[in-house]
Order: sequence, then structure tokens, then C-alpha cells
Amino acid sequence: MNTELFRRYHDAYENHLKTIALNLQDHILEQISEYPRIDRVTARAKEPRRFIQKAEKNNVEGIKKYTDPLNEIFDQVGARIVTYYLSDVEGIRKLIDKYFKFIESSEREPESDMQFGYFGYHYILFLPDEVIPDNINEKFCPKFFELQIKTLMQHAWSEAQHDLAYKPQASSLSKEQKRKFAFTSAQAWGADKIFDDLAKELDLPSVKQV
Amino acid sequence: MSSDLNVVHSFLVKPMKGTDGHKHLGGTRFTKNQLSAKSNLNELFSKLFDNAEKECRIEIALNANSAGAAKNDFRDLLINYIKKPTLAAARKIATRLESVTTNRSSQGLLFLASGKKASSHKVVVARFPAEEGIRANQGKGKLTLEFLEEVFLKSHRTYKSALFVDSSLTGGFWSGWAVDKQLNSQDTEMSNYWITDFLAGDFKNTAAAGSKMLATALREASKIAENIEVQNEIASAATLAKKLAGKMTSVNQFAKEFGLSDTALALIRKQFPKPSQLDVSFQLDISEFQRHAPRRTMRFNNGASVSADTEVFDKVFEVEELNDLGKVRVTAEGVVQNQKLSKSK
Repeated sequence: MNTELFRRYHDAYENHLKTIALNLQDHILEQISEYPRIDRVTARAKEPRRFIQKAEKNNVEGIKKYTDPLNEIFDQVGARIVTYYLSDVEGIRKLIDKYFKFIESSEREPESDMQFGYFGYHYILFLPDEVIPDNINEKFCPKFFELQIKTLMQHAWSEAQHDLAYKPQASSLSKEQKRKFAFTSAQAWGADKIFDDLAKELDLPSVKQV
Repeated sequence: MSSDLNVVHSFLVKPMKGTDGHKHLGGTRFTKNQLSAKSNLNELFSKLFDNAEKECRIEIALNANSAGAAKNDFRDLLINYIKKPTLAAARKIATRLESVTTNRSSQGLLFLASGKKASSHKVVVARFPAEEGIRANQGKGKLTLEFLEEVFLKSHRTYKSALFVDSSLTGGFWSGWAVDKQLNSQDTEMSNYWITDFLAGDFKNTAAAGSKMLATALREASKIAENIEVQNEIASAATLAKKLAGKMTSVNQFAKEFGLSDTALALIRKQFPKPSQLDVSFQLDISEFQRHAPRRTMRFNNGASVSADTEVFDKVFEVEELNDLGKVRVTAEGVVQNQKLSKSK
């Protein structure tokens, strides 16, 4: 393990990343507060252990994926907006595009149309200046944060999948276990579609009714 | 040259929108050793490089590509140039500028000044527009005039510059600062080409975010203002804000524009735990501003109060002064749409 990198990131994590994450959570909530079906907004600073794991990853050629991890890993601070229905993701995206600047904006889905797995919308956004405490030198802060927008179903699936599939004993999942994960994803995907159809039929409002 | 400046490249760039620019555009390169310390060019380059932080005050962010991926063509050229500041790498930036410059612009002189700022890389990209000029030579008892067809002026109203400072050539150089003296002009085509087309960027603070921030601060300041004069002052500024629609401003500039008193300004500043927020530049989105702006409310000593959106208050209410003691009569005409009951406090 790169102990110097671990020490530097650990210091940043303890000294300001956790505070930035809390401030960011409030900031995002304020910017999207007019949207009616927000289940939750959460933000967290990436734990030092997980940061180092990511920093030391190799690419397919077996070469270190990150040459400058502190400047290249953009999810040191990550946030998630959980909403109710698929069409809400689009509504929330409009607000995000309005109030934030992104350098990456993409729908995450399995590579093949015949597969089921991870679904969600991801952004890499500039970290707003106002969430960085005044006593922190911005030079030591990340410039970006990752934002995920998910439906309740996508959120539930990714939480359970993360909990189960990232356990040490789950390092090599069997075919059957992989199929089970795909099956639960397909169930969540189907539930999302049906809820979204119902939401459209029942003409849910796109702004809060006061 | 400035001790932190390593190399300067310069090109004469022509308006060639719709093409790829001149493939073999000739340029020139100056290094520290080439210019004597006291030469005028040396002084110009040093000022260009050293004063960039003072001049370039608008934060810009480079855009993702059209597919939403973290890739930006200008950034790629800039990073290549920083890695290897050759004439060929600089030329690619110059031809990019040619390829987005319309015939409405005169030709310009592009400078790329590359060096260091502490442990970071620093590059200044500046375009001096061409102007006609006259050189006056005062001789013994006579004055001679010489017409100069192309003089490149830094002080001209179409001067543009951008500054990029970052320590990382892999994850950095996604943002910078710019100056564009045409930004507040009505000529959007002319003012957009530098930041939008050439730098493939945008303002880092979105118009909506900045306008909401300003309006919310005015609204909260108005709520805590104990003095009615101060409340009126803030309400008037909010009403007049439409004058700045589409223009670049900041909280401090807004306060200055409408001559807000020290008391009002202090209340507005209280809304920002971070003082640097007061100077953040953004383009005023008037509809977003008005959505969050304070509603103007007039309360009377008899318990009555009237309120309306700030921008229409003076149109929907007629205020008649009845005496010198401040007694007024307020009238409004219209159809009652609803009435609300709420807690008195």
C-alpha cells in the first residue's frame, strides 16, 4: 500500500472531506427542493481504505489506472439523490443541469440490452465553492464530486448488491449467484417501469403543490 | 521575462470560421534567453503573464463533449502544449482560434505564455485585436505622422484573455479564468466565440445558481432588516434588477450598481458565510432571480399589510401621500382570486 498517499488522503478525509460532504448534502437539497418526489439526498466522503483500493487498481493492461489519484479520482466526495419514479430522474436532471456544471454526464446501464445489472444516472460535477469551508485551502480540496440519481428501486438494488457482492467471500461469484443478482435487477427494472407508467397515467405534478 | 514565465508563442490569427484554419500558420517563439531583460516586449510579456490573475476574473469551466464524456478538445490541445510547448503544439491552438473566428472580427495577435506558478503549470492565452493607428514623431520643429494599418492593442474593447493554472496534467485543467470585454455587450455572437467556441467552455457558476444565490440573499437580508428604509432600498434594487438581465454581475457589483447603503450591504453580506462568494461572477438570469427575489410587503401601523412580487408592486398599488407624517393611502384594483388565513407571527 502507498502509505504516503494513504496518509495524505486520510488527513484530507478527517480535516475537510467529511465536512464538505455534509455541506454538499444541504446544498444539493436546497437546489432541488422544489422537486416533489425526493426520497433522500445523501453525500459522503470516500473512506480512506476504499480510496486506496481504487487508487491501486490496474487497468486491463496491468498498468496502474491512476498516475495522480488525488487529482484523478473524482468520487472522493459522492452524493446520491433518490427519487420515486424513472421520469423523476429526468426532472431532477434538469435542475442539476441548471444549477451545477458537469464534466461528465451519463446513463449507467449494463453493456448489453439483454443483460440486467446496475442502472442509474451519474454525473461528475464541479464542487460548488460554497460547500468548501472558508478556512480550508482549496488547493487541497477535490475539484469535483460524483452525483448519482436513482429511483428507489435502483437504490435498493445497488445497496443490497453492494453489500453482498463486495464481501471478501464474494470475490468469485458462481454462475447461479450472478444470475440471481441479474434476476433481482430485472425485478427492480420491471417495478420501475410499472410505477413510472402509473405515475404518468395519474399525471403526477413536476413541482411541489403548495 | 518574468522569472516564472518560460516561453511565449505568438501567431497572427485570421477570421476563418467554418474552416480548419491555416495548416501552416507561421508563428514565433520567445524564450527567456532571447529577450534582453529591459526590452519592451519582455516587459509586455511579463505583464501579460504576471497580471493575468488580476485581469481574468470570470471563472470558466470547460465543457464535456457532446456525448457527455469528460473530454474537451481545447483542454487536450492546452495540455499537449503544456507538456511540450513547441511551435507545432501552439499552432494547433492558434488554428483552432482561426476556425471559430467570424469575419466580423478583425485579425488578431494570439499570445500563449507558458510557465509556472509555485508547483503548478500556468498558461495565459490572450488575443490582441488589430486596430488602425497613427504614429506621431515629434522632430525638431516639426511633427510627422505615419499611418499604421494594423496595431495590436491590449486595451481595446475586444481584447480577450484566459488563464489556466493547475498542478495535474491528467485530472486538472478543467477550469480557468477569463476576461472578455465584450461579455456585457448586446452582440452575443461576438462575445460568445471566445469562451463558448474557442475555449469550449462556459461560466463556471451557472446563471441560475448565481441569480438564485443573489435573490435569496436579498430576500433574507430584507427579512432581518429592522429599518423600513433599508427594506425599501433592498426592494428597489430587486425591482431594478431587470436592468442587468443577461449581464455579468456579482453580489458586490450588484450592490455597487444600485448604490446600496452600508447597512443594507452588511445585511446581505451576513448571508454569505464565505466572503469570497460576494465576488463570484455570474450572468443574471432575471426570471430565476425574480422567482427567488423578496416579495415587497408594506406594513402599516394599523395592522394592515399589502404585498406583491417586487417587480410589479409599483404597478399594482397606487400609493398616495396624505400628509408629511408619512400617512399614505394604498389602493389596488382587481378580482379577488383567493384569500389566505395564516398565523399572525
